[in-house]
Amino acid sequence: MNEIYRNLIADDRWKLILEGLGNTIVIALGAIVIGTIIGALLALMRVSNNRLLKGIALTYITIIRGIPVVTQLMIFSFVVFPPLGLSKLTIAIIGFGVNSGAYVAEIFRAGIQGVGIGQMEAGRSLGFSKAQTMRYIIVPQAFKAVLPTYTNEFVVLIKETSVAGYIAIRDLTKVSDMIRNATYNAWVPLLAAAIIYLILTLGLSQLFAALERRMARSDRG
Amino acid sequence: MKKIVAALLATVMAASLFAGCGNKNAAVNITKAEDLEGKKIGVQAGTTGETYVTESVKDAKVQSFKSGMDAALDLKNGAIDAIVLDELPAKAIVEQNPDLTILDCDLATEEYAIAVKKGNTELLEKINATIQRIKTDGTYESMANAFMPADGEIKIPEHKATGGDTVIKMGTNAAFPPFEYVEGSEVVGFDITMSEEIAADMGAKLQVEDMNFDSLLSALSSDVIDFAAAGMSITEERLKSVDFSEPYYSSKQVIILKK
Repeated sequence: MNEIYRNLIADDRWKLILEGLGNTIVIALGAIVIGTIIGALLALMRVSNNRLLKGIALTYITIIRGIPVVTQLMIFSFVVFPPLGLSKLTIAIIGFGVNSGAYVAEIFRAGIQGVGIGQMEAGRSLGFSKAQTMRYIIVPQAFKAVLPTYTNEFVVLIKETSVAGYIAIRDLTKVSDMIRNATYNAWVPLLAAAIIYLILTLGLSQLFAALERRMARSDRG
Repeated sequence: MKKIVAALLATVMAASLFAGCGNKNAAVNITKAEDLEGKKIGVQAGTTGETYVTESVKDAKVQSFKSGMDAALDLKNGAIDAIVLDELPAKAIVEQNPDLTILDCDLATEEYAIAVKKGNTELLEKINATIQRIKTDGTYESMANAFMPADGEIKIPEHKATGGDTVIKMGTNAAFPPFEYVEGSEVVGFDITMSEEIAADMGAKLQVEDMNFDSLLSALSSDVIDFAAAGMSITEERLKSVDFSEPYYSSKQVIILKK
């Protein structure tokens, strides 16, 4: 009990943990937004008939998925962005967003291609243009189908932000490192960080599960 | 019946085998620098201690940690046999961990200095001017008294207010007491206070970036930080990629052992 107090509360350590938690959440949320936008664009590019767009999307996805996120993050932080003078937090959000975009793109593409080809044909024969069919018929169905895998990508992303400490950001993991270095106790700070991550990911999964249930209501089953 | 006896015998043999290993581990005995040969030695990644052990200790199994404290945890767990680390951080670690002790045998002496990007003489001159000033006007002495007191009771001096339109970024690795470490939620230490003096002299606002020690040099060359003050020793190797200020502290490498 004493150890818990010393590691998590004493000497303003609770403030440190809150700061770390805040940064982790900000990075994850920001990256999710950027990742979703990039992912949606890339997915549409991949299913388009334009070879150039297809090629660009495929190259992006191949490169980003083939490099560990921590390597990418360091490239962004030490090579690409220094001349622009962006804050570390912004770099991390962009870095994780760019990374997540590649995965989200593949999730969305699978969703779009998973909707039966007959749906597109039906839409076209009703007089919809290709874009209209995409917007009113394919995407709404695809969205529902990809929700579980999309949730999973969020969960993965939250966990991946734990490498933000590499570029001098005080995220939850870095904060637990700092506490461990100050108290020489490995158990309490690491377990606390683990539990907080678990609460975050569980909470998020629950939120999306609720969304899924709501959307299922519109199904005629 | 035979099967049971055989199984029992096998169990006993296996158990004695494990016991044998345990004893062998406990027999690690290091009393001088030469005894490090062939041992599992923990170091902090990117430090001169790492270079020393890798280059000068025969058959050493080097394990590089992100900080000396993490190495200390593994030493306590018995995963490594010894740590080679700079003297003052080693003292700070041993003070916090009564089951560890320092073996003082002058492995290598060195001098700490502030690093800047190669060719940035403008900043280097300003830093040198501040180091000169604090050494002559008594600031250095009071900083040394505050962070390296004889009685071990560190009194962190008041933060010197730094401000101005320009921001100067100082890179460090806050796991190196008393030069830089985390107190509560703040990065403090000798190097931080010194950097505040430098920033104040320049009329700039100081921003501290706490990163991995082995990232500091590359952060300098890619302009992520303006200077690095991290208890960093001047070495030939580092001089190839950065410029160093005048030295501000003489240190040496020591060995930390489990009692």
